[in-house]
Amino acid sequence: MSDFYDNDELEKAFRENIEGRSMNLPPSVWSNIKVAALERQLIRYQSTTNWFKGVSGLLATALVGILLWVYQQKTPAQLSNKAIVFTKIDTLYLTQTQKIYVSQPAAQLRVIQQERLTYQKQIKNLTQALVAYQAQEVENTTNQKLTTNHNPKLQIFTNKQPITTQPTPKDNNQPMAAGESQTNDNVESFDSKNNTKNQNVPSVAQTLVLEPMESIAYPTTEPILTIPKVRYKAPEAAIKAPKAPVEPLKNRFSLAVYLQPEWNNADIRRSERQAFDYANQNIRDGHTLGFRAGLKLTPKWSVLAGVEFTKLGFDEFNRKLNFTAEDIDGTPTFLYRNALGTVVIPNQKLIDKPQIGNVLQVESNEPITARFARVSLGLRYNVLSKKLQINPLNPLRWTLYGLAGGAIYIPQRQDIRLDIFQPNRQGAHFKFTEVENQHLAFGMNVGLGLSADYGKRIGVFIEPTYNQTLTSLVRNMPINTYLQSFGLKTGINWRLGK
Amino acid sequence: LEDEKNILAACKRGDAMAFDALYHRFAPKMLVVCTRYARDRDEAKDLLQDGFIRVFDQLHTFRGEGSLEGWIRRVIVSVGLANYQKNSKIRNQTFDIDSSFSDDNQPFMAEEITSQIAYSEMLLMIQDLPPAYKMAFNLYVFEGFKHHEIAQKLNISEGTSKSNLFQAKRILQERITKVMFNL
Repeated sequence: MSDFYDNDELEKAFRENIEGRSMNLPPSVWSNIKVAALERQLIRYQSTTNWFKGVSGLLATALVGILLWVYQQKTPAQLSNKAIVFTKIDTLYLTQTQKIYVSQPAAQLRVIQQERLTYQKQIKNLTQALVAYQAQEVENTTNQKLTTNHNPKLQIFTNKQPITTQPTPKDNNQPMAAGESQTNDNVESFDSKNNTKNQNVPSVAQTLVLEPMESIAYPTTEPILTIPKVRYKAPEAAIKAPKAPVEPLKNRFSLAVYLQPEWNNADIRRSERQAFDYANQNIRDGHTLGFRAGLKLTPKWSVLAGVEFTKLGFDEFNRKLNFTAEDIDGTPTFLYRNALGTVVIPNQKLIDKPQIGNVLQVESNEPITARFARVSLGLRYNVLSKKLQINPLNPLRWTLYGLAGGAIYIPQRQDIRLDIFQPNRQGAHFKFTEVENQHLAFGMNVGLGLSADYGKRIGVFIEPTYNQTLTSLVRNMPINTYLQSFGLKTGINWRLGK
Repeated sequence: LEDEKNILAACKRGDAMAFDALYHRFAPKMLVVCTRYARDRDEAKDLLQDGFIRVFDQLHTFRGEGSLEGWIRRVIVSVGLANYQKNSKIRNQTFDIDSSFSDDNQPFMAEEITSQIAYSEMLLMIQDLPPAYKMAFNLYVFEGFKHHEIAQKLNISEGTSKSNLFQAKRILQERITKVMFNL
């Protein structure tokens, strides 16, 4: 091979002339690629904020449910009082149940029947003994308090009257065993055919209601004997619980002020591929100043409402930008677009009247800041509370709590300073604050908190909080901007009232 | 670079518009690369299509080391190589130059060539090279591979790679001379 072909000139000529060149794309190729990418599930059209919307929907439903529950629920103090009344005074249960299952032939039934009668006698004696004992107990404790005029059932105990029972109606083919009613002198017999009590048996006016005895079915696998269960319910007047003390509304209010450094991220969704040419700045930092009021609903639950003022800084400084004049309502106009809106550069500020397609060189030498207000409403739940008795007069109370709620983001203004260089002219410095295409957004927030309350009035708290907008902060642009932030609130809390 | 980062991040989460943006940003340049490896425009379109499907498929493997354009180009070249290797007819195509070419051609400076010959014409010259020569020329001149790397990729000997490159340059020189002198 000759050295002639080893020279680089030929290679250099091809490399320089072909490298970096572009060709017009055939339109069919992208369609085919798109179909293939969809088939391979590389492209997903759903927005990833959908799950946020779902979660917030569930959260909102849960919040409404909790609020309703809190208002409908009686206080724990009332419940515990009522329980004490029932247990000590008004309720007497005597429960003993014996079940016998029979699967033997009829010859053995006589033995079982005898056993049954024995059980009945035993249970009767036991019931009488228990009732007498309970009656004595009740008489001792309530004799002075309870009146018998409006409490006829309780008269049984106080007057020591005999027990009566109401046997169950029997099936026609299952008559009651002979002698059964004779063992109970004071027990009413029951005519199952007429479904009435027999009149020849003296009735007792004040009766203790006993659960009916089950009839025997021979041969059967059903229970042949059930011992009655004695149940007594006291009248409403006797069980009324004392009302829990209600804390005055004024004492349940609190006010708080806090500062929150934030770590922010703007999640930008484009609906046009050209939209990737702008709004590529990142949020550098953020600070929030907030005020909020709290209202204690229960010892565990509080509702919080407040307003926050947030200032964000974009990292779009020390950058060179090129704006191309666009046709806006028939007028060639330069637009500066960022993640949170659009600034129209007024043609009056430009020396040369722009033509469509003209390029304007711009430098951004100072940080761009954006401000917005956040109106929030949420719920607080106290998970854990501990009192430290360092000073008996002013105890220190630590509380760990969770927060969840919603917020409305209200864009306010941006501070944009640009150095604009026109062709063959010197640069001029412009400041813009009026930003278009901004939009109210709705969001959610969740957090944890730890508060230290000193005495009854003052406390400090720290709250790591996550915020997320669920709707876009801009409108009428081929981008949708969702803001995510994680902040650490540190603040002071005052309780109102005495 | 920020916009590339954003496009890449959006592609990784499956944003259809980001794939659109990525394709329309890099495909015009990649079509030139595909044309160099293809026999005609239709095959170039097929290579571009297959190449970008593979790019989208393997995008999650891009770690941000080096430029995104360079990575996409390497994927496209690998598709061109695979296309060459799977088609044995193309691979075994031979071209007898000894009888029709002479070594009397005058060397030209690169500037002379680029000033007189359009890039599209030079592209066609590469496209018309025999496949084996074309592969050696493309890999050596445009992709910057050494002969042992080319030999490994094409499963040939290093000597064959050198010979193929020599023959490719010889043919191209002949054609450039004809164009320069309007022969």
